[in-house]
Amino acid sequence: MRSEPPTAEVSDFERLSQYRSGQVEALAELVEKFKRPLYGFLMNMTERADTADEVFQEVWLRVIRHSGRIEERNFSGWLFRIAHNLVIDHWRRQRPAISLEKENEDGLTLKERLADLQPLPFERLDGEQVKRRVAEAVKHLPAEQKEVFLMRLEGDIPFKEIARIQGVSINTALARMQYALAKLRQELKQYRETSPSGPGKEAQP
Amino acid sequence: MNCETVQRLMLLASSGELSGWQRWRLARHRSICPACRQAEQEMLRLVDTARQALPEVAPGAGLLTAIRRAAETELRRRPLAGNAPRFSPALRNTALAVALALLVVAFGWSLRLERSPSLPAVASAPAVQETDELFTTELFPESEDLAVLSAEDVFYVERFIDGTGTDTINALDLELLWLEGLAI
Repeated sequence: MRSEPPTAEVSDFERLSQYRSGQVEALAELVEKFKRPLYGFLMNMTERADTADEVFQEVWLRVIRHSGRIEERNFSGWLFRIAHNLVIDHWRRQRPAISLEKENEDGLTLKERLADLQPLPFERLDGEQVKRRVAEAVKHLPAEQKEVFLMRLEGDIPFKEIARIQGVSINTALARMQYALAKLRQELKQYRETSPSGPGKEAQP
Repeated sequence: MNCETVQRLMLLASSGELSGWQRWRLARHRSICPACRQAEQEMLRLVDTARQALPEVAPGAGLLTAIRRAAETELRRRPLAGNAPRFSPALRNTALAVALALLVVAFGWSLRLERSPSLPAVASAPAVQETDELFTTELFPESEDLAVLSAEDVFYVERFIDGTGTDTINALDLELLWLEGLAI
């Protein structure tokens, strides 16, 4: 998680155990702890707030229902595994609806968003623009690479756990991360080359 | 170790998943490969940039309230689990491992008992076998011939038992006949 130091997994299990013993507040603490990484992951994976809301709620309903049967050692891994499965279910339902002409929440079609990724030679680039560019590039990563990337950066999930969640070898998970980083690097390189403010100035915070 | 492998180790290092051996290999490669050192710095900067670039989003308060209500409803619906002892997966796995080890030890011990020459044969052993053992080891301890005779050693015995003629008999049978005073 981005803004929080890593905590021992046992405390998450203790909270879950407390919830099973009747303390609703313990579950609320768990939700609070994971709300940003989990919701960030879902927002980036689904690209729609309403879908992210729906899946976020369903993830926690499953945690509540199955809290007595958890077998995982890693609570966050378990949480993101549920999220992964629900996102796949969502994609399976939504796949035919994806269209280049369909508008997103900002009123932009996928075609326009893709065009927005092209280099902007006369635009003055600042840190915010770099971030926006990177965020857009992340959105357009292939699903498997994006998932690895987001689980690492949003959820701080270890690669071994990500590999388990995706049902692939750890080498595949690492390769997906490498491809994702290579694409982002390429994106930033384009910025450097086209930026009038000088190479590398904005891309290296 | 090639540079591609090293770059995967760098990713594992960034997530704190390297073993001691892998850490040592990575450090050793870093010390001799300036390209990989630079690649690692770039990778870390890129990850940092991307981390900052991802929008900070959070679910709305209404959603969190709905989850809390669902949690309360679930608790009312089912009996509390607090009274039942709960074991962490680690503790349970340890207990299973100990139980398995005890089973293996018990099995090994029973095998040892069964094979031990200083102890009496198990009760389930066939009576005939027990008799043979006694003949060869107790009744004729000094007889080396019996020990070396094999089943292929066949003796011809004339007028065997009922005197009907020549028959074949193996060594052990012959010894039994001698004991019983039947063989000639």
